[in-house]
Amino acid sequence: MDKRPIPFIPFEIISLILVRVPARSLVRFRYVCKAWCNLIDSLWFARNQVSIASLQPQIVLVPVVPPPTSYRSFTFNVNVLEESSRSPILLFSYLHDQEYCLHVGGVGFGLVCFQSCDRLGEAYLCNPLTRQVLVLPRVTVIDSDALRNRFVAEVYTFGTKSLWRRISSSILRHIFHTNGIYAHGDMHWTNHLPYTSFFQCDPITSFNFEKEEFKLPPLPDFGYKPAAAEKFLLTTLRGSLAVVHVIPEETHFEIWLMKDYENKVWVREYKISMSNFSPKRDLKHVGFSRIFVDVREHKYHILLLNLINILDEKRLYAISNHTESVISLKHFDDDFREFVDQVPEGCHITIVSDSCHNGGLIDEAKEQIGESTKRQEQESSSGFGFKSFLKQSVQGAFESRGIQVPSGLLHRHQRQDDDDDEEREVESDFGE
Amino acid sequence: MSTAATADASSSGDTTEGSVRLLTLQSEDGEVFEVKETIATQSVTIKGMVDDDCATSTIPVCNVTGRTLAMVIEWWNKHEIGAVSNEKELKEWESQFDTIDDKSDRDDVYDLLMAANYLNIPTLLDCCTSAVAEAIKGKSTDEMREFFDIKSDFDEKEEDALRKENQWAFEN
Repeated sequence: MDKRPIPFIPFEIISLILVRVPARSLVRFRYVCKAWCNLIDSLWFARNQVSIASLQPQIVLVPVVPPPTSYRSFTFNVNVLEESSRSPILLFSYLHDQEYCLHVGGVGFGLVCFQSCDRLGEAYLCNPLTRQVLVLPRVTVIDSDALRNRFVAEVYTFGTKSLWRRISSSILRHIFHTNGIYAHGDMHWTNHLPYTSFFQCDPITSFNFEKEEFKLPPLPDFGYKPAAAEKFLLTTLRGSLAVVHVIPEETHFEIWLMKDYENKVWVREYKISMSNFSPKRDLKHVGFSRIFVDVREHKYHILLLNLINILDEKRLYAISNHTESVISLKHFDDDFREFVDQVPEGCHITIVSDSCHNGGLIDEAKEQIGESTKRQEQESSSGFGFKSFLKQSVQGAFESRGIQVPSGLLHRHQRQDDDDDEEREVESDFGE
Repeated sequence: MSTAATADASSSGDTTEGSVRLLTLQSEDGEVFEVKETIATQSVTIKGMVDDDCATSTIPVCNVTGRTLAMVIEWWNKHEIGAVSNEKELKEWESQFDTIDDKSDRDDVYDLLMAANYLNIPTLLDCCTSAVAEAIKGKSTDEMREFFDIKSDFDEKEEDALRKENQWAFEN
């Protein structure tokens, strides 16, 4: 057969292909060439990869370490339940040489956030797939007297090297009952309302990262007035916010999806009969077994996961929907800020940015590196329209150089674990 | 003027095939295809031409060979609204790419990708990119370089450093 040369594939198409590849392969594909590495590391890519991959979510299991009395260190193990194996794979464990315990604060975007149980304000962000761990700056502990009966939130923007910023909101008047559920670009919590019914008050709080505002999205209209004791579970399904509602004294539960997030339209997607399975008998060890409903292509399977058998340790597990992502925590390193700080006064930095793929500079036109020179402002504000189109056209030429300047300086790695030791603890292969 | 041209074209369509207007597409290598307008407008590029009344004479489809254009038209026919259930169709289509390692299949997919991109056919582009993604997942870095004919522009030192960083990803 004659050898036809491999045709030139525009980078645009390459990016459309790569965004559909599982995150685990992408970790390897980063090393194909510099252009691929920059593409895969870009926020544009991570965002799109997660939204496509979230159609087939995995489950992440994180053992919750009991408060240590004699622990000199803790490990957290992140396990991902894969569809093929139905048993968790230990992705990695992270060893910290200090004496305290952590719990899972939230899962989203392929990242797991751990909070310290006993040291207020300490948190870690980790990407289980790339095994990067980022120590977050400490939250300033709020003077509780001054804030009596008021709730405030604190926001930290990566890469700004600023401290946590305080945001107050009139609608923020609940303690969140659950870990955050990430969907549609917003974070969602179930409100903790100890003495009232969930249904009498606003049961969900959402937070929009772009506008930095809280909202109270409605619950689905279940078609009747729910009783005071009824509860619901907030989760995600195929990237949409979902509510699982078990109807008391009925034989089924319902799964509602927020199909239209803009207009907050809920649609009842599934009505699942509970007569198909009898969880009561199997659920003897409450806390160690979980029921999963695996729904795809309008069929569903019920999966009972007995965590004692699988992990052989009597510990509680934090379990969440999870989508592996290649998002690099190095993005949030502050070296770039340091680089800018080194520039003598009166000098300009010209940044040639591939704004097509590294959407960060344009999409969220927020300041990325603190106060900027005039030239930089021009660069980012005129990025829309024709100029951005032009940039896109010459993208091939600039692709590998666009973000080169800072990336050469990223020497300080956030991972603090000792690679060689860690590798041995990982039993499973990661090939597909 | 332009409205008259449209009316004229659709009335001539009446005589050929019901009320459906036919478009004439010409491939890069000169092959000519007659395609129903309702089907061909799955291509955003062609739809734009029709909307702008530029589709009254033969439409040259440069960069796409007759062989590929025939495959694209087959795709259009299968994906005409209400034709076949999309899901089943997609599975069937995808099964063609199972042996994408084969050189000729690979060329077909490349050709289709380029055509889908040029003609801006979102469903076909989606399917082809997914098929390629499916074919390349799990491959090694070197296999990828061979697959896409890419030369590494990392120097040895850089590559070693990168590999060390994520050593586990290279273990099989």
